[in-house]
Amino acid sequence: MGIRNTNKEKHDLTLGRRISAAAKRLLPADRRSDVGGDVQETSKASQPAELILSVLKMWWNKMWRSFCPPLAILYGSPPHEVKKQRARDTFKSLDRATVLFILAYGALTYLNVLLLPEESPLQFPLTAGPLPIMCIAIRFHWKSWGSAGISDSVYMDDDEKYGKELDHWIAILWDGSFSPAQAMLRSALEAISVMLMYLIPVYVTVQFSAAQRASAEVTWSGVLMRYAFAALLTFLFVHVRKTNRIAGGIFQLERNALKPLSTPLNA
Amino acid sequence: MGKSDSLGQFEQLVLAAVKKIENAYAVPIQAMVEQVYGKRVRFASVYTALDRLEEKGYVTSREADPTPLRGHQPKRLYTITSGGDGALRDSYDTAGRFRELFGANPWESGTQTKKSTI
Repeated sequence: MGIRNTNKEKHDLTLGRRISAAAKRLLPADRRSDVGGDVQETSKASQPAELILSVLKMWWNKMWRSFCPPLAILYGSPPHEVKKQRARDTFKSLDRATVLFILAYGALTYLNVLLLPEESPLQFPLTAGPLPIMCIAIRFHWKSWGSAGISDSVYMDDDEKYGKELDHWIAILWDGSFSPAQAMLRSALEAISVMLMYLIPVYVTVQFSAAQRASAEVTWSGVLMRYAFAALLTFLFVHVRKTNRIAGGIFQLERNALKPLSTPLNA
Repeated sequence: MGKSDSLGQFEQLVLAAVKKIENAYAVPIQAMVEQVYGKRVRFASVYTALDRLEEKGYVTSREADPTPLRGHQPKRLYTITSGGDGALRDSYDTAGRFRELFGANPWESGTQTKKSTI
């Protein structure tokens, strides 16, 4: 029995070690130094189960950061120059994401209108209406069109330019003010623009279920595809809005960490 | 930062451990959080909280020089930033006001009242 137990223990030890070694290899390269303690600590962090969970969580966090770029600006405590570059890249991606989102919303509006019969009186309002409403809703948390950069000047060092860029980005993303009337209008516009994505597919579904086909070209798969597209855009709308807020907060933090622009250089 | 960037309970504990421990790294942070929390704490949760705190700018990290104690592997050491210190202070003040509102231990007196009525 004793011999058998020893063999089992040895086997477990080898298996555990193998799992730990495999898990350690799967850790993201920039987080390897986080795992484990000193030799005398006999840390729980190196146990196979803990390591596997850590690997999963670390990769999940990494994936989330790549999906929400502002979170990566301060991650890993990068040097100032890297941070500046990350902030600039983040603003560019947010700007691009906003434009692409509006284009995708326009495409969905067009696809939805195709479901209606040509003689329908709803055709014009549902073609021309949704996009301006969505644009105004987005304008509440993206207060500019086009990423107007700060022009290079020989009188400005890079930090000064960065400070001005941060001010500009904060003004676009997050003005810090709150107005109850504006908040109500914003919420209403957001709700309407999201509802308009689903209006025509729901209308067509109701007609289908009443055995009245709106148009000969309408199929179930087409309607389902529009539902899926609308659900994806709803998720992206919420995500872009949240990402803009996070970015605004981080830009503000960066701005506070910079010296005021009026501080003399020798201060 | 905005409302969404306020500290969660677990983040508070991790940030407090980073402030309290000199040369804080994941292992002693986990041990302290587990001791204060009174429940088992997974390392994965500690790493996630540290990631989040770093993303919010509340802690900074750096790799220490490798030591023979760790098989010549470097450690990642965490330091609290002024922003993190401010956020922790806000949480501490809020907890203080909460305590003032309820007194020393409202549950103890509640139990006594219940007992006395029985």
